[in-house]
Amino acid sequence: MSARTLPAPPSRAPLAALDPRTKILGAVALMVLSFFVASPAQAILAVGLVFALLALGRLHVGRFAFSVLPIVVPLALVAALNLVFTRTGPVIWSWGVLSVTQGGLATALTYGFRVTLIVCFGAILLSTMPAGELASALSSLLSPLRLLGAPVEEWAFVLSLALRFVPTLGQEFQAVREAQASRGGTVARGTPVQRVRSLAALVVPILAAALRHAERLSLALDSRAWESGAPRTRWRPLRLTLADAFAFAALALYAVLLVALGSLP
Amino acid sequence: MPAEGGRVPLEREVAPRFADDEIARLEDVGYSFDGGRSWALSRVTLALSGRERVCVMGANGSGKSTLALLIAGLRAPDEGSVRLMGRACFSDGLPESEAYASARRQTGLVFQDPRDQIVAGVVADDVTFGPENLALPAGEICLRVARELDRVGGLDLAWRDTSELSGGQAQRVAIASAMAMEPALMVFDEAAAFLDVRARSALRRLAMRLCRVCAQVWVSHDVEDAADATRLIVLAEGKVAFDGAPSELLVDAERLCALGLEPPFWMRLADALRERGWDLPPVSSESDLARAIAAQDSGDGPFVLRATPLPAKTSQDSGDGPFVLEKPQVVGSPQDKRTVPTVLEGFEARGLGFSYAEGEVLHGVDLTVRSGELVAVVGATGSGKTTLARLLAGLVAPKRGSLSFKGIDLGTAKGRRGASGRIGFVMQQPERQLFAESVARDVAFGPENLGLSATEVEGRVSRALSRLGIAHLADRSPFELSGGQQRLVALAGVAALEPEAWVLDEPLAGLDAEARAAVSALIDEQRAGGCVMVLVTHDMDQAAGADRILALERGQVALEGTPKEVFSHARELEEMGLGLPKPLRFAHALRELGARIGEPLTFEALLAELCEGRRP
Repeated sequence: MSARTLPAPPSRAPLAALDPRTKILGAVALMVLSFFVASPAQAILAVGLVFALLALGRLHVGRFAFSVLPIVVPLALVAALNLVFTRTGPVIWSWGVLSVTQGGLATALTYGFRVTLIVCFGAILLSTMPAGELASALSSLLSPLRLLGAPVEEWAFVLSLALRFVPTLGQEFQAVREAQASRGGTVARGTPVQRVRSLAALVVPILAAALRHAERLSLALDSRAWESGAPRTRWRPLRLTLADAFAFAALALYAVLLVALGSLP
Repeated sequence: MPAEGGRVPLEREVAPRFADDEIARLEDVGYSFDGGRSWALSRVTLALSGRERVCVMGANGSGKSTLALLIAGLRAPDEGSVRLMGRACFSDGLPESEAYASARRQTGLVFQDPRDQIVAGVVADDVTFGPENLALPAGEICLRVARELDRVGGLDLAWRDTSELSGGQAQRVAIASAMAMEPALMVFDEAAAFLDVRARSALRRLAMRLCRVCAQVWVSHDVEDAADATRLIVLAEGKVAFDGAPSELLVDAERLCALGLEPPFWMRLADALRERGWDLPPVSSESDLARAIAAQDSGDGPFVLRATPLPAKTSQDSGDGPFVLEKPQVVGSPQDKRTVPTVLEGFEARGLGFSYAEGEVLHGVDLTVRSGELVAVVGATGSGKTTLARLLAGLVAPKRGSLSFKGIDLGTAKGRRGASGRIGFVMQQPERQLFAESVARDVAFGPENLGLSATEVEGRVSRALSRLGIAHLADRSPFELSGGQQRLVALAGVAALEPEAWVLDEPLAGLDAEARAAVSALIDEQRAGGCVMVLVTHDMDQAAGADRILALERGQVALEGTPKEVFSHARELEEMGLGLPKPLRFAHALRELGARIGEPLTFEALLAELCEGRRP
């Protein structure tokens, strides 16, 4: 009698299928390069790259924009302060003590654009990378620290477990909050004494739940023979492929183009 | 990528790796959580062999989970000696960590809550976690992940996110992950306690199949689980109270009760019939009893029940084509609803809908519950039961439709605030809400928030505690109580609000017989006292006692009506992953054997039909 074999993994978007280390290093490089964007031509190139990455990651443009909005808007407002505080170049608009100079407008636009760009690259990274990949990529990228005796594998594993348990504890929190609210316990109303008590009624059960989960989890790890520092094998070791080489080449091309456009007269 | 090509052998046909008593041997073992002041286990002596399927039972707090951890090598005792997998792990007060580590590698463990044992974000990665820790070569890991996922029927889950699995799926993945380490023993600690009927029976069948490749310890408090074990161990207050063949104990209802276990349905029925003068041979299962009843000889040929005519299949169940879920079948009496436009004495929902970002979870639900009425909400996992409960409790705002309680509009924030304290809500496993330093302080939390005077609060706390029979626990810390006691404390915390309505989400799940009785008594008392009662449950026997039943499937009302009406749709309920109450299931089995019997929903009704139907 024989068993069926494992189905092939579902096909992933080209960007998501890259080695997680490529994704992390690439995103960091793109974020750093964003600081060099100063001219309209460079901006057009960068925007083109963002759209290309969204397409390669098969990400929905509208939903993506909606997801970065809560971070971009406050940062854009901060950048807009340059409008009134930077005073270089000719005045283009004034009202009472407030005036906007050409230099101020340019600075506000440049900084606003760079920050938006950085947030976009970060968001693309996160939406093409599951938590498990993040942990194994970090453990591989930080492996030189192992020479100094740092338990890099363990750090990465603990990080991945922590990420795994965020939704679980989130569900616990919601359940307990609702249960206490139905007993009239809410931090939003009441005398200070009541509020402190209501806070305890939330915090204590969540701590208890976290301890309970942690205790069970440690039993589960023991029963699955996990030992800190013990040698283990990997079923799917990280492996760089041709696609990763291509990604790094494309990244280099982008950097060259960006610098070239910046040095145009 | 993984597992192309080669077919892999499914069955690891292994001879037991250990001699008869070498899987585990415990001698005079004692375990204490508090340094010896009280003993969770004391003087436990037992030996497990390589081919056994042992069922460990006992009331909440009897020490059965602790025993499971000791056998799995995950806890060392305080006293006695332990040998696991042929090696001495604990003797003379000292643990052998090397022997323990080796024993753990050969033991798989599955807990009650699969969320606590799934470590990876993707199913296949979780199954490989153990083999990776054993430092197996990648090719071997690859074979094992396919073989074990196939064994649990989960190959199609391989690349799914573990956070998206249902409870039953997650348990199957947990089993595959444990089996991938090729254990000689699998320990299931109440693994089925929180699953719905369909998932639970699938898990039992799966566990039975695993018997062929490894020994098993199955911890449960459901006596029905013991029937297919090769050996039954019952713990009571930390001591072994019974150790032997299940058939030895499963004939003695009185002894089971004395051990804190609820006798199975068929045993209670056989005893009740014998009390009424029936001459039945000894029976050891439900089908046994059915055959014994059908074969009753009353002097002139085989006994045939004849009291009640076959149920009239006229009004609702006219056999016209397949059951269509798109059209909710309101099999109740609709005129009740039309006469009263707004119910001022209870819940009134019209076209109620709710959705999350991921999609709709509840759609077009109509529901009316009056004072003194108990409506049971049933449905498989993911059918929207819990969302409906949260809406009725005023914890979330409906996205569509209207919902009111005694004329208060629960669609508005103001209305929900106004209803606060008047609707008692009991979430799933409500013991998770306990927080205070003493039971009395915890129960007082609700009344204090209502701004009542100190004497009134005190009065309500003591009334609530005595109502649940836990007045003696008032000064204890809730965190040192057993699971069953904690559940009662949490319920007392809601009872102290003295609410006009109760919304209870699976209040009996995971409780032993004694705690179940206390919770059921509270529900009956509150219903008789004129409260509006909504009970979410997957226990059909509990639903059978309701005034009306609302069956949800994929967020919509699939069936609604009195228990008699709803349970006449046996096939539809089966398709929804729900069962029938045990008495009705038994009556159907009798009918298959040729008996003429009606549709009894409760134990008493079945008993009455049987006695009445017996020929003089």
